[in-house]
Amino acid sequence: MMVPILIIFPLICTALVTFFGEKNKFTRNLFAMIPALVTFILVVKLAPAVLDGERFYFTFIDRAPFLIQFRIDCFALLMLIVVSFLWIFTVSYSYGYMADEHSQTRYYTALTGCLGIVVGIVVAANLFTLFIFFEIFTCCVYPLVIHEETDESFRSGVMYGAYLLGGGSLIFAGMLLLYYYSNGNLTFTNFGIPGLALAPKWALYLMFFLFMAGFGVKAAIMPLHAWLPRAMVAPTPISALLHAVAVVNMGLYGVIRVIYNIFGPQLFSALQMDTILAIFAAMTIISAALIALRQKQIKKMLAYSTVNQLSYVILGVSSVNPYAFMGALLHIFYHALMKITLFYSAGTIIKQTGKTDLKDMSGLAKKMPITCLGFTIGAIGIIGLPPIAGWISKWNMVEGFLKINQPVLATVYMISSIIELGYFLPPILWAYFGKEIEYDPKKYKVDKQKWEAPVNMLVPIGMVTILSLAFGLFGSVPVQLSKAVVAELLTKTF
Amino acid sequence: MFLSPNYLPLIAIVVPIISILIRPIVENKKHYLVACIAHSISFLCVLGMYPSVVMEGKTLEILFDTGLGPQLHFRADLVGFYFAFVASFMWVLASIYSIEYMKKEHEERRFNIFSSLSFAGMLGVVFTGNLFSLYLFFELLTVSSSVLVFHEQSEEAIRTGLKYLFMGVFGGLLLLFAIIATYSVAGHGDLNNLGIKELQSSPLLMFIFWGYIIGFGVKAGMWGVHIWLPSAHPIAPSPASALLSGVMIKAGAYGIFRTVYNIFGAEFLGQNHVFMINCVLMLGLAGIFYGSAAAITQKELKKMLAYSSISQIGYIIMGIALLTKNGLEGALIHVLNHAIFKGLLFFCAGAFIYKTGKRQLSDLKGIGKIMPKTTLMFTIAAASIIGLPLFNGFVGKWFLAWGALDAAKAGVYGKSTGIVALGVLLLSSLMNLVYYAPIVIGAWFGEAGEVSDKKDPNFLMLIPMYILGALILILGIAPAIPVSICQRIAGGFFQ
Repeated sequence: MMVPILIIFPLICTALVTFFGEKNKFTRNLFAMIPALVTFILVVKLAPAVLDGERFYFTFIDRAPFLIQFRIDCFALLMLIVVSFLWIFTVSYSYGYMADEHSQTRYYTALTGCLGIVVGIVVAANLFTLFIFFEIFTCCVYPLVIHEETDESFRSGVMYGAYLLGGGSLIFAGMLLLYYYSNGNLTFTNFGIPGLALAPKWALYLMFFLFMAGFGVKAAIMPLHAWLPRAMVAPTPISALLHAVAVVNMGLYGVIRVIYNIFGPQLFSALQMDTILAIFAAMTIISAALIALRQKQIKKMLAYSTVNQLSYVILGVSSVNPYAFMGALLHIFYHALMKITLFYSAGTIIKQTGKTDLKDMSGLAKKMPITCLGFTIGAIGIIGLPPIAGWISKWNMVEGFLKINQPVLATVYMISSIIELGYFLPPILWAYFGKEIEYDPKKYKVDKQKWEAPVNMLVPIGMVTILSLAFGLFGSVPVQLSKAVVAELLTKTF
Repeated sequence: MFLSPNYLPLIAIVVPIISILIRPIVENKKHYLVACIAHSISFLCVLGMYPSVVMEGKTLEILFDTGLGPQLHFRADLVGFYFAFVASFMWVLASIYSIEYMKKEHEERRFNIFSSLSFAGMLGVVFTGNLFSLYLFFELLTVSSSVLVFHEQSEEAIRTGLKYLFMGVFGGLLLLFAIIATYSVAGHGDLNNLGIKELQSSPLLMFIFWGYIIGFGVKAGMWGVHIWLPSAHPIAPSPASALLSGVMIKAGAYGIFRTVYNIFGAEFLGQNHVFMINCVLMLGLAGIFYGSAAAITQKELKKMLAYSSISQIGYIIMGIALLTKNGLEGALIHVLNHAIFKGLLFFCAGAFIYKTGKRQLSDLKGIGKIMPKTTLMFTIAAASIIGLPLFNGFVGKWFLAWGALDAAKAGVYGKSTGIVALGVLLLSSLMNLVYYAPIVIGAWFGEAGEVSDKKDPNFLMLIPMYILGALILILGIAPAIPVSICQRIAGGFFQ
């Protein structure tokens, strides 16, 4: 009974959020937080059993081909922990950031609803179920993207919808093909759906492209990334949700499920799909890093940095090597943690000072020490330097590629790190050592510059900053979880 | 349990870090005292290793498994002890010196905190037993010492600091990838054996080797990747310049030493990859020549000293890359000697700036009449860096020259390379004479300009200078203890 509770409970809370609405703001906000906490606690309680090999199944409708079925395996467990853990911070940062915004009820309703849907995506046992929740999720995020209700945000909303629903239809097409060639079997099976290798090659390649394009939109593989930087008009907690906590991670989740549970690692590498995917990912890594180098706005830069980092995961996944795959899984979590830290700090800077340009950050560290420290720690983690959490995943991915004798792809990580150094270091250093920029009421949108953020924004920033350090130094839980996932999906011995 | 000497390396690293935590609550003037005490405790910890490491020949180590993959491994062997001794000794003196010197500067607290952090980083680099832990502290050293370069916060300081940090972290990244490659090939990164055997047949050997050499070389100021050094060292406050030039570049030299002797193994490199190690030797020689030549053309004292550091680190790299016993001994002795005389030179330069505000060489004419004690110390240090006998700089050069001759006689390179190395060594000494002698002569015999404050600095600045000056003379006449340690280290690599 655990599985339906995980999905239903956040949805009930969503209804409660709407019910209390503007009448009782405190209770409303409380019910936005409760599902995240409850999900996290439940998942952590489930963890030992799942790691011991127990699988939780739940079949909702069994009218094939309309089969809605849920299952928690190691990979689902990992994603559940990541999402629900980070969700807690998203909601708590929202309290501070959204305090004086309009339409808060709509905001919290959509946010809470998203949690239930995301859990649905993650625990889906077959592609059909995953697809249904995937589409609902896209729609659920839309009100958050257009939250500001300006012309620009509506334009971004249209772009968001076009890209993601378009991607959804590609997945649908791929799913039809798969249904035809696998005799109606869409269930995620470890080491691939049996019998799929007998399908004609063109069909397999077509399926592969459809799935990769469909999920790749959400994972922002170039050239399908354009919606992500545009969606930056949303409020900062939503940017964090899009970039770090949920949306893009669901794209990555889909890619991994398709590779390891539909095609299976053997078929995937036998058909050279790994090479194709690796080329796309490597190109994305380098070009997104170069584009980020040229950005002038904080949030835009972070957006391209996300595009770049997501392809780290894709590249790691494409290797079909246990080390690199483990690194990729870890990177989903570590990147999310780093990006959340970066977005929260950047959001606080924008909110408090009205500064959106990187060069305006000069001299900011004196006024906003904690925020700037958060930004610094996040940036170091993204670059991948120890002891901030990001290094573990990068280390494993590079090690994996060197183990399968692909030094060129390992070098991609290195080049990208160097470019990241180029765009993260200067603004940080100017923030610490540069001269302060004078207040210009025409340029900055706020009437009065407030400096260091109020406590309810600082606490989430401080928490994620400390966690970034802690996970980089001695948090071995994610490593153990990822090892379990690799053991289940790829190979037991490594 | 904590009384076991195995914990000494860890304690030495941790004490400066812990002392940072009490700084914010200490009064503005007293935090220097905290720093001095913390650094002294670390120094005592290093001295406390003397009985077990040097006399009994033991290795002190502790291992932490974090569960993240590579382990944290703290370890003090003879090499680590030797480098740590140099570092902690210089750091204690610099922190005494900076009590007075930093009175005229802003943000003393920040300077002090990051000086301690750099100290912890420096000790960590030499007190770690595997490459991953070494890297952690190497990065700490880079990042925290960059704050010392930024210190002034002028436009120029920020640009210089950016260059320093960018190159430092860039080198660090190269290093990181070489380290990951080492772990992926060998499965571990332990430094305690003569060469990691698995590396020797790896197809990635070239990549790994140059990753290490360039990664450490950036920090060392090796020629080719030295471009940050001449601008970064002078712009930091003088006590920090003394540490940057005297000690921190040795972290890079230490890395190059470990790369050649512990990671790849001298014998292996000498037999199978003469060309690669020859390239390193050439980089060293280029550094010696370039540093001296560029120093001649300088007009600013601290800038000249920085260029001279490039040439001095060239000696050390040359000694390491010669692959002869005497050469390695010379390099190791020069690590200590260079720290002493370059530290003293920067202390003197700092004293000139502190008292007269003058940075140009032309302003130093007649300074001997105004600040005789400081000028005397400057003279001793200059004599030592030129390599006159009876001063400590001579000892290292003597061994290096023997090393070059050995290489010419029976080394792996053939005759001509050894002779070239010897020639560059002698030529550089001559060039040192060309740029140091006029300053000293001018200082004593030139006409003094108008200055308001005709005095030597007070005892807090003078005492560290006296100690270093005395050491130059003592180690120049009786260098038995450091030489015997260096001979034991080198003896471990050459039978």
